[in-house]
Amino acid sequence: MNVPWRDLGTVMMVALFLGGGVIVLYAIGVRVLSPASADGESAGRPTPLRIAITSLCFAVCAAAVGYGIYTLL
Amino acid sequence: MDTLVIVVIVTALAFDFTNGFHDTANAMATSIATKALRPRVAVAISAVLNLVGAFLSVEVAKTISSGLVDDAKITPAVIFGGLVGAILWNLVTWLVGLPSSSSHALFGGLIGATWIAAGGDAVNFGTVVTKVIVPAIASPIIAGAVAATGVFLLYNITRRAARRRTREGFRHGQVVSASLVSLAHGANDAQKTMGVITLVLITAGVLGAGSGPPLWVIFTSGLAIALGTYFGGWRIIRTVGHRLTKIEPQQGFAAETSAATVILASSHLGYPLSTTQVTSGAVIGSGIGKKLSEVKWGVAGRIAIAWGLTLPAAAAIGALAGRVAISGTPGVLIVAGVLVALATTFYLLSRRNKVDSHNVNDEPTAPKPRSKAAVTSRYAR
Repeated sequence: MNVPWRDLGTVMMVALFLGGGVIVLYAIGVRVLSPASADGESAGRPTPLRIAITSLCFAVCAAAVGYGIYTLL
Repeated sequence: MDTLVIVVIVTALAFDFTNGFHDTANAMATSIATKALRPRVAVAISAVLNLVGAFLSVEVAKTISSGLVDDAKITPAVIFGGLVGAILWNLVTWLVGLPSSSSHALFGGLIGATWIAAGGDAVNFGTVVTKVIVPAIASPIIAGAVAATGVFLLYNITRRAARRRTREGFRHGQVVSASLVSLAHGANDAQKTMGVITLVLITAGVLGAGSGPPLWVIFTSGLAIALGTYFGGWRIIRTVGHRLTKIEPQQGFAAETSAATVILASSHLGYPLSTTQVTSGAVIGSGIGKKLSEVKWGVAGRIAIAWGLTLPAAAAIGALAGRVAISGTPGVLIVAGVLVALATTFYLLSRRNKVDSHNVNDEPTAPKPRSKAAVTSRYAR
């Protein structure tokens, strides 16, 4: 009986790096887009630079989702 | 195609329907709990994506149709018995609101019916261990670990962000992550029914050994699971969304993303894992990542017991149903009659304490204690 350790390791690595990576990148995107004042409320509209950084983060997340769907095909 | 084969195919699609409504919670429970999506919208999106997902891959279907049991030693009546075991276990766990694995119910039912009808040699126990049991133990742990790590990092990253905008951001993210779980669920779970129907067609001699599912099998399986998903297993949605841990949009997003990644990676490798166990593991992980005490371990323990019981319980029911069904047409009719009667009973029992899209987010209330006057008057009568 061959327990598929290699495949389980692959699932673990993919989940950690792809899944964890998407979570962290999305969180960074939300963080950059949501500057806060001292009381934790929104500190106005985000600057164009913040919007650009967030867009980049979200685009990488979207690409990772697209790759995930592609692996099924 | 003879009548028995048609009866088994219809029963397989009925199982697929129960799989859909049993597992709606996997994708949408956290999005409904955090109000990222309205309940009816959530199940509609999930249904459509389950249908789409069914067309994406057939790797898992091939594992089921050519791996778990020896297709040369079984008949459509045996598969019918296995399906009955799976459907009944799914209905029992749905009635009590437990997110047990539809996949393990199916495998258990098939193993039990095959064992009783054709002996232990007809069950490929090596494949059962390597492709079912090991992934069943490992996958919720992996999903839980990724979700816990993700939630821990996510809260630290957004600690100084504007609170309201952060919640909104993750609510939007949840719509995408929940949709991805639905797609992955369709890709993984619809294939299980495709695999069973393909197995029936192989045992009946309609398809050659080792064949993949024909297009009509892919379409009907996708449609059945989509309809079941739209029907909505509200009892289980309430358990996963509210009773395991108090979920915020950040946690929901992390849980769904982790679950989707594990399911997609496993489907790609052809492992028919339980999406229920993966998502439940991820939800528990999302509670651990925020604060250990937030997980309601009593509920988690009951779910774990249900996980452990699913395979043997479905196998026992499947064995009994299979034993009766292989005796001939009267046996099949008796089993079908019992299945319909029990399913109707479970449905009527569920109406006594109805959970639907209108009250799925209500906090469960304890029964009101009777007032002293009411008790006195009752005994006075």
